[in-house]
Amino acid sequence: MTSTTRAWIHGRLFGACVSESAGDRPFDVVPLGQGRFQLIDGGRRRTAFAVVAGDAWVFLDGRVFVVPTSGQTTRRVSADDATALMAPMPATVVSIHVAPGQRVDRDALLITLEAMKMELPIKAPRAGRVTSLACHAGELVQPGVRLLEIDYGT
Amino acid sequence: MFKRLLIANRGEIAVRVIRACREMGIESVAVYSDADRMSLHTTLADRAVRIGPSSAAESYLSISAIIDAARSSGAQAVHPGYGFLSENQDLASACVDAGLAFIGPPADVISTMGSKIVARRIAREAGAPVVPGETPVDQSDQAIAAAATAIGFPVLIKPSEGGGGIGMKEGHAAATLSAAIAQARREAIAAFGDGTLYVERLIAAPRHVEFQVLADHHGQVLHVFERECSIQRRHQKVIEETPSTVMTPQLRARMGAAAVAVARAAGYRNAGTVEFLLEGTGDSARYYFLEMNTRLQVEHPVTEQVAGLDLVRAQIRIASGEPLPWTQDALTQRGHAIEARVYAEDPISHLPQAGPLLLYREPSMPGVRIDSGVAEGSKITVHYDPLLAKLVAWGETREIARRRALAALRAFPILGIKTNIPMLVELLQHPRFVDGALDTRFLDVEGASLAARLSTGPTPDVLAVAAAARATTATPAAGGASRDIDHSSLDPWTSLRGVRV
Repeated sequence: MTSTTRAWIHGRLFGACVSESAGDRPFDVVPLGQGRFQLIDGGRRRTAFAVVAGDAWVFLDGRVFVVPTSGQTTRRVSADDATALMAPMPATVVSIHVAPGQRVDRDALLITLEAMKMELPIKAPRAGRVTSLACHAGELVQPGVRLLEIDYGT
Repeated sequence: MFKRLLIANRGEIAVRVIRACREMGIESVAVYSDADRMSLHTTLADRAVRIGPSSAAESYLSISAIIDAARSSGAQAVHPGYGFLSENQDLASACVDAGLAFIGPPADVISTMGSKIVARRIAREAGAPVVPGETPVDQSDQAIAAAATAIGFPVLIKPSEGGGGIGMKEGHAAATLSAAIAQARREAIAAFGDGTLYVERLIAAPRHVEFQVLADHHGQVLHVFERECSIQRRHQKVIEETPSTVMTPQLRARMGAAAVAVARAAGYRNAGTVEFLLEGTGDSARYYFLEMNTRLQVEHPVTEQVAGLDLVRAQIRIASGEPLPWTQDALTQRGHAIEARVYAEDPISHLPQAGPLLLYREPSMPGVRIDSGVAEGSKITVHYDPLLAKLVAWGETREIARRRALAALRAFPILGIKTNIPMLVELLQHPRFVDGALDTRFLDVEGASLAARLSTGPTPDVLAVAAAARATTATPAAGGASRDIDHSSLDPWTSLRGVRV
């Protein structure tokens, strides 16, 4: 999947590592200044917007892509990952719907967080038994802080 | 008319009110927290008063801080916007006590209509239908099942003290009800510490249709037609439009009259909204009073675009004692308007986003209006609501308005934090949205398929733009070009003409 796309500017190799094959279709990209770019694909012209802040942020046709500098796609957190039971962002614990020792089904609502006036439900990624609670209602929690532990064993 | 008006709010609605004041020759006073020291509303107003630290509880939710700011700045009136203290009767009465005009209904009306139970009784007495339901005095399983049978299946069982959809269970027959009752009771106790249950008829796939009302201090109450707000996620509206695709002149007349009757019965003043659930289509559709919002709504611009009037100006004129300049018969609708709310949230996970707006360019095109509270360089914090901007498209027909909204969203670049624009673009093209076949469960049912369309990675054209952006970014530390490349002799700002990838 990984290949290197090279950008030619005045005969000088500029280069960019990208996460997927860019194929052999040529694109012309003309910087227009202030983050605007003319993208010419054959005869078709479109306007794109981009800024680089570590990663490159690109806006094209209503979609936004964050292209990592390293060329690696961002790590995707799988549903099975224990981090699913951590706070995803700074938030307030609104309510706790389970108690230690309680068996829970997959997708059972465990904890309701609130951030920026929106409720964020924390659900069980798999069936299991709640072994301990590490937060209380009203508490302000930070990203990555463990909220509770579940034993996924039988 | 007032000489100076304080806006007890922030973000796009504060900006909206400041602009109305400027048009009307009224001096505007913004209030700001530490996080909003250089926010758009703070910099745009004629005066600005700091009211506290970043936490909303110590700033925008502090009645004493707001009253002090109004006194010290010499304001004569207070506009509460929406959210924060807009439906808090204590702010309304504190304004009156301080000799300030509160731009909204009287404190006792806010209190009355803020109680769902009292509002429901007022609506029923005014002739507006309500969803049949009750809190059985006897809370035994048998009594609740009997109440459900009397109300008629299907039913919804929910915590009497609840909200936010927690503990709500559907019941489809008396025989299978006990499991639903037990589960709802358990969740009610866990979430609210009270297991009392409420039973109501389940409206399976309703539309959310609300009516804008205006009431002056001279006895005139009128409605400014409906807004359909069925596209919502977890009770947060995403897209609103007017007219509703199922509305007929007869149904509009009936629902509008019901909304006016509710407002009149409540002793309402200023701008408000009467919300209904709508079941079925056309003249035979059934509607049920849901609640009344005693403030200006987020989605008020769609009404303004189609009715051709300024609701904020109307609010200020009503509060200053002027009579409404229109009669019901003089109000007309022209064309169609659609509002898309642009939120700082991940379009797939819906998690709120915080960070700087590295690039933010609002589109400008015929029939498109943007109400926003941010600008390029603004920092979005976790302290407040994630609404960045409202994109409102008007057209002679719904299809023209839809296409304009779509074209405008595709030309609305926001970089630095993720927004829901990609999701809005997919939503506006969904066949059910195109057909106007909407109900409040739309995003519950279609949300996953919309998200799936957004999960694809960057295409080669996007990678080409990313490469060009790196090549033209002056700061090497920003992670531009890459290893094995020598660009020491090249100044991209002067020599770059085109990038071929």
